Amino acid sequence: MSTETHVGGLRTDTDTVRGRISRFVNDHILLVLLGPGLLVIAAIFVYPVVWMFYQSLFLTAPGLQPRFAPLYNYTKMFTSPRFWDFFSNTVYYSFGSLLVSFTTGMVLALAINHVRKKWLRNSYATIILFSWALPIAVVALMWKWILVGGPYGLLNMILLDLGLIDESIAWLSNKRLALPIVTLVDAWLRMPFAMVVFLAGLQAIPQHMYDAARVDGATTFQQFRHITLPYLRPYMAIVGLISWMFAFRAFAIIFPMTHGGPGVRTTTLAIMIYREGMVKLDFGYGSAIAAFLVMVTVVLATFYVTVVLKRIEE
Amino acid sequence: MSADSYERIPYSTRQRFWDFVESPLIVHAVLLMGVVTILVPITWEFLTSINSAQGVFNASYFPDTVTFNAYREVLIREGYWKAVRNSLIISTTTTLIVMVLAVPAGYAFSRFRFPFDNVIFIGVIFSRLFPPIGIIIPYYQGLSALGLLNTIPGIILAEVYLWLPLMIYIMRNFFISIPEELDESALVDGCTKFQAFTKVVLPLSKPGVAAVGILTFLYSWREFLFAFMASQDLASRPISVAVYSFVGEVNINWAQLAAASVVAILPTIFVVLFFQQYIVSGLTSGALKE
Repeated sequence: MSTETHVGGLRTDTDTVRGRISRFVNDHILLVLLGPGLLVIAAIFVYPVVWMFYQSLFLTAPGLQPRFAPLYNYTKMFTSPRFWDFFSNTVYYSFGSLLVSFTTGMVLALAINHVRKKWLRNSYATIILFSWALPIAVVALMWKWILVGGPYGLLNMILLDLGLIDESIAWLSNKRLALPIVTLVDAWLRMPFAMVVFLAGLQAIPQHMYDAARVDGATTFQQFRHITLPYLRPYMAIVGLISWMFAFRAFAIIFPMTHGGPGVRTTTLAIMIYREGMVKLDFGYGSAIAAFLVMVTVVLATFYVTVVLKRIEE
Repeated sequence: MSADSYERIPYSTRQRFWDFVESPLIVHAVLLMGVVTILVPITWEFLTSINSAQGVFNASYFPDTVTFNAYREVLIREGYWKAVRNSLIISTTTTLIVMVLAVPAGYAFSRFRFPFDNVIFIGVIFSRLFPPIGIIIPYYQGLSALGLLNTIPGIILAEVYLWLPLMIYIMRNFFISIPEELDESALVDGCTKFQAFTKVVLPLSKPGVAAVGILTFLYSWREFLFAFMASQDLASRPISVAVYSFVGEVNINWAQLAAASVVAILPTIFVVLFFQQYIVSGLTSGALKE
């Protein structure tokens, strides 16, 4: 490299410390750029993952020596009716949240895209982003206060004033309402992400497509179906998978709001992992549930990386 | 897709319906509904925070007497200013560490081919998509073995694990959008490979670096699960977890909880107001390839 040798070759930079460092950096450029990051990921991610799978093969209890019993935790898990209840709660929660945040995000993105004034579009987007940026536990407790039973919960106040209900409802202690409600709060938190991604997708559609279609007499609905939707498809695939995946593992909305209650009506796999592993300190069983949750996600993550990302690349 | 494939339909009732749906009236009505759903809960939280502890049970929309007692009690008497301080330390340090590690790594993934590069990159994506709840137990055990439980460095470690892979991915996508010819001409002009990165590409990457920094700050400010697991006392707890400690009591002091929540919310609202563009670009490039 030319910087390493002075013109005339009287003195080379390799003689100085700085020159030596710069040569080392250049010769091992990948190591310098990538090494620290990968090392950190290996230390704080790969190691715990391996340990989690390994530990799931042990029978553990507080105060007892862990005993190697490879199938014990998994048998316990798959034969437990509770586990399947919690699994179905998780499926309800994740798909419900996805459905609501996907639809509302799409509607709001389409609406924002129709606003002509730039400052107005930005204001709408900024305000909607507020709900995404709030600390997650704060969101949970904020809604818990709105939904609290008694006449002073905001939702009850409004419904009572409108005459829609006669007496206040304890929304979160209601066995039938608790799960739908935490699902909606999760969607409230997740909706701005969908909106932002759809908005980016909408803005990438060339305007002349619409002009041509309109000249041909296509109705608005036909334009949406034949231009907007095909263009948005990769964005929809991404929002669908990411929102589902993050809701599937979610902990921070349900736990502060209901602790998994009333009873176990809002207990999802994430809450179960916390309860078995961190409260009852049964590390083996908790790890086995975690391993199951991971495996379900990995199947989808693999799908995401290989199929969806590939398709967008093309 | 050719435009010929569209049926020719005269201006119909159906189209009239869609014209109505697309009219400014409906568009703004929909958006205002969205805005109301976002702003009403936040406003209610603020109104609760300036109410008195008993006043919140009066079932009225606005506080009878405005008082900042809850803030004084929470921040000074209960010592929650420490949680604010912890949050600032944790989020700032996490952001610095993640930026120092993620920016060069993202550049390396965007520019160099090396053995197993795809495998390693998929590994990075995988560690982003991996459910963190899955390793909450090993993390707890590890921090406890290292003596880092209930310490700020312990929480920072967890936050770096959570956000580093995502930021590497976002940085890589950003660097891909910068033409590689720039690096090449820098090399021809006598730069070393490292100088091509620091002197030519990096100055052009300010928006990407800013997005990564802002997102990391917000994400680690918002995060609950790992911070909650890694800290049980006020000395190390960030504000995002400290608000939760009001729930453990038999009777929740809603005014105090609201005051603590508003303190936790305010910085995030300011960040969104001032850096909306960076957040949007970061969120989209974190989700999409380009």
